[in-house]
Amino acid sequence: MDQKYNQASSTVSDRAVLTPECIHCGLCLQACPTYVELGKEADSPRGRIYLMRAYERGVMPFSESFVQHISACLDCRACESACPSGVPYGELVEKAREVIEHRVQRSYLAGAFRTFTFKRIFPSRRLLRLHFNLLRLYQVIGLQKLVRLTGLLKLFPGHLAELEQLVPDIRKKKDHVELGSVFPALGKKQYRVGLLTGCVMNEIFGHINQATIRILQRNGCEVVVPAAQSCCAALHCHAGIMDTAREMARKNILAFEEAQVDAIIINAAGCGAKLKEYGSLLAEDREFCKRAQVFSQKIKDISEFLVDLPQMARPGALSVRVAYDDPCHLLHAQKIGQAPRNLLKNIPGLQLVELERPDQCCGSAGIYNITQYDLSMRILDKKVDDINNSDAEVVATGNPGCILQIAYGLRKAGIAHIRVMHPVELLEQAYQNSK
Amino acid sequence: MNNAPVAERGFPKEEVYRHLVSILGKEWVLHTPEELIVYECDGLTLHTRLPDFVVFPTCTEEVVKIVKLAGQYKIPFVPRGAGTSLSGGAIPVEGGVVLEFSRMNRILNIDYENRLAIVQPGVVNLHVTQAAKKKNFYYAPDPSSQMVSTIGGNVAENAGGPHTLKYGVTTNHVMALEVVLPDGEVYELGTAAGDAVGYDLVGSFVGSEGTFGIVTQITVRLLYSPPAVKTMLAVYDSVVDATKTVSGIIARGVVPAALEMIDRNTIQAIEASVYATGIPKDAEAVLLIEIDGLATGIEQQMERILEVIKTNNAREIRVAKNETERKKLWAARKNAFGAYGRISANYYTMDGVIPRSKLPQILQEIDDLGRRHGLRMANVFHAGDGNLHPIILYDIHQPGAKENVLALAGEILQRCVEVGGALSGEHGIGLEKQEFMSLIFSEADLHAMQQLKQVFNPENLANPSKIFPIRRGCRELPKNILESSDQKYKAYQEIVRF
Amino acid sequence: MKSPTSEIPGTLPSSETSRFIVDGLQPQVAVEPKSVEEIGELLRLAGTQKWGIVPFGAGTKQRIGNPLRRFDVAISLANFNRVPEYEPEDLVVKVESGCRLVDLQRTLAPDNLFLPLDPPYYNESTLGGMVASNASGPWRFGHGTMRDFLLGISVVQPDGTPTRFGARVVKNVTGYDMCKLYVGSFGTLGILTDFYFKLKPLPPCEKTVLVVLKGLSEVGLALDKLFSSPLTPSAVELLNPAALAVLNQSISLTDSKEGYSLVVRFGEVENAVKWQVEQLERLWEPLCAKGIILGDIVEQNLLWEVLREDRSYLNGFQGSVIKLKVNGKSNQLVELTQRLESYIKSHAGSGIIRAFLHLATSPPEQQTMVACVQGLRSYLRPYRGTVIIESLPLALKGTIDVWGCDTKDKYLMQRIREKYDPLGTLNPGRFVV
Repeated sequence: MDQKYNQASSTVSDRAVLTPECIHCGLCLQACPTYVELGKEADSPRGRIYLMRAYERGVMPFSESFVQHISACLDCRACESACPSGVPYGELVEKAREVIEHRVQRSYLAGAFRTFTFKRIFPSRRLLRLHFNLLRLYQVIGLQKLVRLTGLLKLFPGHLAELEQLVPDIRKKKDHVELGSVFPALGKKQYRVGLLTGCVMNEIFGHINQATIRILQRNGCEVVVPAAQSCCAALHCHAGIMDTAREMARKNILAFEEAQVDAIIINAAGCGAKLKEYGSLLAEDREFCKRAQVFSQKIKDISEFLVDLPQMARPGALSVRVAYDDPCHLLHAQKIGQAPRNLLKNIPGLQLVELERPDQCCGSAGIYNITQYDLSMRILDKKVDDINNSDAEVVATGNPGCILQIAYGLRKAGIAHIRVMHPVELLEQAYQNSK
Repeated sequence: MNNAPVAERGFPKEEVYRHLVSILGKEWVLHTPEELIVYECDGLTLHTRLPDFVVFPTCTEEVVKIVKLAGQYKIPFVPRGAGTSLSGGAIPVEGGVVLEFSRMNRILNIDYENRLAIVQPGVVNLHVTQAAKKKNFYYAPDPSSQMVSTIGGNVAENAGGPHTLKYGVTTNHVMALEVVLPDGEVYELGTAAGDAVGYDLVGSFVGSEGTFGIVTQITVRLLYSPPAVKTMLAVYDSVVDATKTVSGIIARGVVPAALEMIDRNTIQAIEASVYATGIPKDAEAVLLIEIDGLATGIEQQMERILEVIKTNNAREIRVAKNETERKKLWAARKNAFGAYGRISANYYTMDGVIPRSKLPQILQEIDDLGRRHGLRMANVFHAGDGNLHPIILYDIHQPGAKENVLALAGEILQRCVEVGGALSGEHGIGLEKQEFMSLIFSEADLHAMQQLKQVFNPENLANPSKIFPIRRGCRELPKNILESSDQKYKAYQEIVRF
Repeated sequence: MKSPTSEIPGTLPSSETSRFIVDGLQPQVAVEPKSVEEIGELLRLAGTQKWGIVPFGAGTKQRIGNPLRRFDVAISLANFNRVPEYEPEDLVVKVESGCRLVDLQRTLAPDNLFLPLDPPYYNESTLGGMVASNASGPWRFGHGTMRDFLLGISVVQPDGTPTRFGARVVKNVTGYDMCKLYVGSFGTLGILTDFYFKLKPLPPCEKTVLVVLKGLSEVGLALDKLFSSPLTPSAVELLNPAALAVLNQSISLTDSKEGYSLVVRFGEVENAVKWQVEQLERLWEPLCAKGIILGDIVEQNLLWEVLREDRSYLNGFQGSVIKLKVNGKSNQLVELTQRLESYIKSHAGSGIIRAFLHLATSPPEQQTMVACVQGLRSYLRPYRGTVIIESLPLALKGTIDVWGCDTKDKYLMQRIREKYDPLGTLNPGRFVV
């Protein structure tokens, strides 16, 4: 066995956390982008669960192979939509990553970085700027632990240079929503809602948050942006850094309890999915488990919230052909596929076209595109092909990671005539046109 | 005889590994236990054996090289598609080489003029239909696993599905095969040009569960998609009324595309789950009926069916008005298996087939047998075909549960055979039911079958120890079929590294 | 070597043996066993004596095949003529192999069921002969062939052992699909004694459309249009001008019109049939010189009888007739039709042509025939198509292989034959292997 794994720390309890109820039917295989791409059972949801089970039962020792297959998972949860038995795969893989996080001396992410990084060092100004950006991004996201552990961010692999395009220079951005603000409803106030701004969303796509607020105001909502809110903790969970994740969840619950809102709005699918799972994240926390459930019930994706309104303010016309791409954490994790489409269809003049496989992951998956660059790009290529084969002018998708990834893919393929937007951007434009 | 286990052979593993790597490259030859472990079983989980190697060929030539190598060292080999077999078809029960076909997944040609498609074995069943859809053609066999299972696997198992009542099973839609036999020779069997001359080698090969050799290319028939589909669901207070409806529909000269039945326990499971569709929980049986064809004739057919349903005292009838409603009606049927988990800790899905006219009698008997064993039963099945899927609900932690379930399963199969039925309608024999074969076949029958196997696979290297009874005594399921995982997992064998 | 004697149970009087002549050969003994045991005994004896045995149904397919190497005993299955199990509700019937197809259909008709197979010699054929020869007719387009209907089979193995495969269920994967092995095996793998068949409901309404097309190229267009439409005919037959003329002699339907003709049959619920006929008219209207629709069932049956049977094509000509079964791809139909200047009727949807070549007995013509068949065979070989000579004047038998099977898989067929009939007792020399 490889020496870097801490065999001695293996305890019954860390084995017992992995208890899937998979019946091994295999109906998830083709739903899994990594299985389709790699064709190996261990890179399928069924295979990964089998590995977890084998490890948990003590049949298979902890191995590099285990780490590799669990790490290769996008956590897109498309398998959950395909599973007839309702296996909570997302939870399982996060638990497995927590085990890995505990077992491996370094964090999972650092390990992943180690595995997939340092081959060549390009000490150039360009890369230094990228370095800074990445560091700043991770600080913003709140992955301090990660950044601390990845002192090796000093080392850059060749492909990270390409990733520069993926991460815009966030130091220049000034359009984020100030935490602690309150925005009044336009017309009669119907609801008081909270906005969870999200880290990437607010830092890179502040204008989407601004648009979200304006749309909510227009629909009779007073919008509160609690100052004490924190990152949603999704990336931490994906990486298995659970202690920090729970800390953040408690912080968010407190912040929004205090704000006393009817609903908590989120426009980032990845965050939304995690926020709706606080109940299980804090299931062991006696003080917070009930409150977490109440909190999660209030979480609404912006599209879900708007479509459920008794009467939505009517948008003006917007003549554009839009392909909607399902973010995995909206479709598979939150089972929301129709609401954003209805939102778009509701805009007069907007023509909605379907991609061939709108439900397939784009390969973004949190920071997967950094940790598993090659695989991520293979999955992205398929998405770009689908988009290119549609005659859309705009691809709409409701998750910042997906927006970045697809935009990167389109640029990489030299497709300049198709833009990537969040559905609320289109809706806001339509509202502007209604004046 | 031919079915005797190939001797526990020692072979120079390292040497074979080097050869395999020289054929496929390192990435595509798995050999360490932690990489092999996920291939130790398929859809039948509780019967396991680590293969020695898992390899991923990309073309017929590579398959030939691998098979020749296996022949040279007398190593057994097993083809594997998506690994969804419920009878253990892809389990390498004697170890050896597993050939995984996920890289041979191209649709080579769709010939609309001759209404056929030529595909590699790793092509997913549903992908054929998706590819032919733009010209309104489709591939008819639709096993429940069709979104993942491969044509190669379908051919090996002669896969069925809900729509076989009208359209037949895999064998009715395969015209030609390219196969690699255990001697490493490539043969083309059958033809897409009229009738083949000589013995029907394609018909013999389909359903041979990988024991004849490896299919490397398949020519399948495509059908023109029926333009109209009607789906209805009828709720009954009595199983007899429901089965009378089944025979009544057939007697009226209507052959539905699908005719599925869901029993009381299954209804309760579904309604207790997230898949609840609002079927009254006190209903005894539900029929899901689908007809397809031309828009013009379909109304007339549906009226006939509705008449039969009404005369047989259905208490509620729902007809899907559109595709969304149709999917909703099917959801109850398709999610049934997922729902059992909500009412029982463990369940064992059986597969048996009986003449349709025996349905009321056998359903009652199964119920009685279950009661006698103190076990709850549920049934959701292809009523039109007489293809039963009795589900035995049990709790592995109850003392003696396993033996009890096995005894019950054996009695049910015996009854199926006694009324003129058979051991399996669509799951195959594999490892699961090999010891039951003598319930239905005489020694002479089995001998005749094995002679056919010897024609193709004289040294018994292709998927050995399947289908025919071996080792264990007759009339009992392999013991480990229902063993709990904890018992099953043996100590992790020493890791061989090279 | 001992000769077959009349000691064998069920032996017919020697005057009867003339009923069992194959290719001019008369057996020494004809036997009509009454049970599976008697068949077994006979086969065991035959094995020890190295006899050549030919199983007999109605004898309508006995002209097919290469010359017998030896012929000692004819086994008639005339006593196996019952329908021992029939459950209309199951759409399944058990029939013995000597039962005639028409008798079976008569049993099924009151329940509105039928076995949808319509081979030539419809009125005489026994089910055993049909299974053994994989006999089919026009219905194969809409309904399928023998392999799609045979669910179970009882076979007395060449060593005399009785065996049984399949069951009386429509869906079955219990062990190998042995039924397929016996379909089209021409009596070389055992004596078939009974079968389970899957049945279908009789169509409530039938209509037939006969059109005369403007030319051969229109045939291709018409078929393309039909096959890429949702129409579901039960039969699609093509006749060349010569064959149409024969049809016209039997039933004058198309006056004196000459040309290529397509005959399409629909059988479904009434309004579906009506709609399809209308659709077909619309599809083919620009391609047709003339078209008629038959609704009357008597007229239709008469038409389909002439189309199905070989009689009209074999009778009334000087010289001898060679009957070919040409197996091509359905898109090769037009090309093949052009190549064959003879009386052609074909199962257009299945790519199968039945051609009747008339020739004088003079040697040059025989050579022409051989050249014609060989030319067709080499044209079809790359597509795995074949030409079977189903009927050939006795004088010519042996001059050319009637099966024309020379592909690699023939080796597997030989191995099958060796496994099951190692002594070559059954139909020696006649089949592919």
